[in-house]
This record gives sequence, C-alpha cells and structure tokens, in this order.
Amino acid sequence: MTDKPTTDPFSMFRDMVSQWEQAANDYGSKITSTSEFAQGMQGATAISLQIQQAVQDGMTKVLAAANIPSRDDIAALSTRVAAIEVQLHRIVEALGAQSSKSSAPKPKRTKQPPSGHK
Amino acid sequence: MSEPDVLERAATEFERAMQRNIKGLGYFSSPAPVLGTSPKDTLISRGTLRLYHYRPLSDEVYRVPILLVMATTNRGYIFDMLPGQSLVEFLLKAGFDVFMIDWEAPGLDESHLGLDDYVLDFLPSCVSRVLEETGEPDITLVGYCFGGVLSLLWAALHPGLPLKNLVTFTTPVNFKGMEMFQAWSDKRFFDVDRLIATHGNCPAEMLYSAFDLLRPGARIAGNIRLWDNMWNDEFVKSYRMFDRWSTDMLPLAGRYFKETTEQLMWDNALFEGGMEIAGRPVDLASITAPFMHVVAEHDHIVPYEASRHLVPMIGSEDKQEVVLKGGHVSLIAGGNAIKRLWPQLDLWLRERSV
Repeated sequence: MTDKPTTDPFSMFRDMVSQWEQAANDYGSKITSTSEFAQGMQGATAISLQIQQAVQDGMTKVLAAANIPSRDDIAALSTRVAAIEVQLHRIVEALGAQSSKSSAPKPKRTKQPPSGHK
Repeated sequence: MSEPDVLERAATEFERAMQRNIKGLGYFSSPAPVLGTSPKDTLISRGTLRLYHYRPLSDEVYRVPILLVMATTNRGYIFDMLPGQSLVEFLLKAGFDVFMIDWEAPGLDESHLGLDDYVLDFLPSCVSRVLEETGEPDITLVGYCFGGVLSLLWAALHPGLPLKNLVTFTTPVNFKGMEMFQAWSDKRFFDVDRLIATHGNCPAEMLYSAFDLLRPGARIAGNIRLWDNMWNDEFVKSYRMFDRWSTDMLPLAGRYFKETTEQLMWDNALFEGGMEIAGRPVDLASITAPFMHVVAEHDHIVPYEASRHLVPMIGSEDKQEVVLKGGHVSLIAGGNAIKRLWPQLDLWLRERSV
C-alpha cells in the first residue's frame, strides 16, 4: 500500500465521509459528555415521564369507568400466567418429559486437542 | 491519475452506479436476513430466560461443555449470525458441545426481576441443566459484555461450584471508565425510580438511543457507505446482518436496571468494593478457575479503562488478558472475529476442555 495523495474523486469522497464521521463523533462526544447535556437530556426525559404518568393515570380512570381492563390489570393477568408457566416448567422437568430434546445419538465426550499444538 | 486510469475508473464507477440502482431496489423489497439458524433444542423457556443446546456437528466432542452467556440488552444470535459467520458453528465444528443462555424481552410482569434473579436463579438453573444434559461434573462459561458481568457474579458467589474455565469478552468492571454512560446516568439528574415507576421496565428504545448517541455520526456515515457499496453483495449482506442485530435491542427488567444503575454506575461497587447480591458480598478474588478476558482495542461501548482492571482482580493463577483489534461487536462477529478471536478462543479452550 502507498500513502501517496490520490486525485481520484470517488476515493476522496470516501475519505471525506470517514473524516466527517470521525469529526462528528468527536464533537458529538464532547457535547454529550458534559453535565449540561446530561441535565438537559434528563430534564426532558423527566418532563416526558411526567406527561406519560399523567396520561396513564387519566386513562386508568377512563378505562375503569368504561369497564375495560387497564395495563395494570393485563400485567396482573400476565403475572398469573407466568406463574402457571413456571409451575408447568417445573412439572415438565420433574417428569423428565423433554419433548424438544433431539433424538440424535449423543457424541462421545473423549475428544483430545490435536497433538503438537501450542 | 493518467488518462487510461481515469477512463477505467469512470467505467467502474458507472458500472457500480448501475448496480446500485438495480440492487438498491432489491434491498428495499427483500426481507432482512434470517439469523441464528444453527439447529438447536430449547432446554429452558421461562419468562425472559432461554437455554439452548446446539446440535453437535461432530461424533466426538471435548468433555467440558461450553455455556455462552449473552448480554441482557441484545439477542444471542450475534453468536450465530449466518453459516460461515457463526461462532456457534465454528465451535461445534471444532468439537465443542455448545449451549447458550439467551434472553427474550422481559414482560411487565417481570419488572420485579433483579440481579439476584439472574445470578442466583437463572444462571445456576442453566448450569445445572447443562450438567444434567451432558452428565459432566464441570462447565466452561463464556460471557459477552454484561453476560460477562453476570458470569463473574455467579462465579464469585459460587466458589464451590463446577466451573472449569471462565472466559469474558469486553466485560466492564470499572464502570467509572464508561465516561459517556456515567455522564448520562449522573445521579443528580437521572431519576431511575421515576423511569421504572412509569414504564415498569427500561424501554429498549431508550437503550438504543443511548448506544446510538455514543457515536452520533455513525448512522449517517453508515447509510452513505451502504449506498456507496450497494453494488457489493458481501458488504450489503454484512451491513444488513449487523444492522438488524444492533437495532433488535431488548428492554431491561425494572429492578434489574435500577440495581445495575445504582450499584454499578453510581457506586461502582464491583470495582471499588461493596457489591452485594441478595445481601451476599461479591469478591472476584474468590474466582480461581482458569480465566481469559478478551477486550477490543477500539471498543467505544466498554472502553479499555472500564475493562483493564478485571484480570488483576480475579484470584485464578491461570489468567490472561488478550487485547485484539476491533470494536465491541466486531470483536466477536464478522470478518475480524473469524480471523482473530475465534481461533484464539479455540486454542485456549481446547487444552482446558478435556
């Protein structure tokens, strides 16, 4: 490979993209690693979370009034289903019923490293 | 450039431009590649936890089974991308018996899961299942990124258990060394309790944005390079493979995210001391199994400062750190990994797996 400067415009374009990427990453990192950026980012996140919480609270009341299950109700159901799943899993394990297990013969566990390797 | 060179170059670029247009249409109309297709059996499927056993590709395998432990933020198919580009396939062909702990997105009903569930329940359950499946008394653990942290915590808390070898890839121990994540999770501004109270779990989109923000120019430059290389099938295949994996992130269980933020990001307890899981103190010096830690020279997610202290903290006599060229992901998958990490891993493991 040679380091001689190229006059190929396509190659120059590719170099330019790489240089731009490096500069954008360096500059971006410098900005985003400041505590001012973190404060701003987390401040915006906090506002967004507050709004989402308020909407969630409002929706829960609306859903309750309309007799429709809320996210918490569905999550509670999901917890119960998951608990059943865990119990089922334990029963399957206890019975040794490994339905998904391959019926292929197991390989011998006697392999040795090739001789002479370091 | 001489005149014939210019003409030849112009002809090449014209040809590529034509190919770009033709293949560009194909790119947008074809589905993403199917990844993680090595034949396997699911041994455990419980909530967010999956334990897979890959079907051996040889009649004779090394005695000690390998259990890959995937990071909780991403899918395990990074270890099994495509035939010829799969670490799992490579290990199977080299004669290892391979298992993997992988994760599904935790549901809202799993937001109560904490570090103790992962370290004192999920990992021990999987290790027991692997030992039962193989009939062997010991096992090799290979953890990637935070999968490495979980493996370390498990190993440190179970010194009497059958760990034959421990390998970690790009695993942080000094979380103060992750400067960007430190800045963004600054406890003066980051209200982790509110986040979890609102969402239940830490959303995958938030994690994706944080990883993306580490290299703000990468996505735009990546898209330009994709367009530039649209004529090159190999480049496009590789781009799609990694793009699909990197955007396929998982949410983190609420309590688990809160505990990792508080204990690791804020208190840096694994490095500075005071790390506890369910009230049990963690001491990495209690790990005495042969240990190898592989780090990437250009890792922007886990910089060297975050990982370089790990090997001295481990109690093993047979231990080593290996620094390889590459980044956080290219260390373990893709052309760089095939040339560098995989053969190194095979060499290190084979003599310790009999």
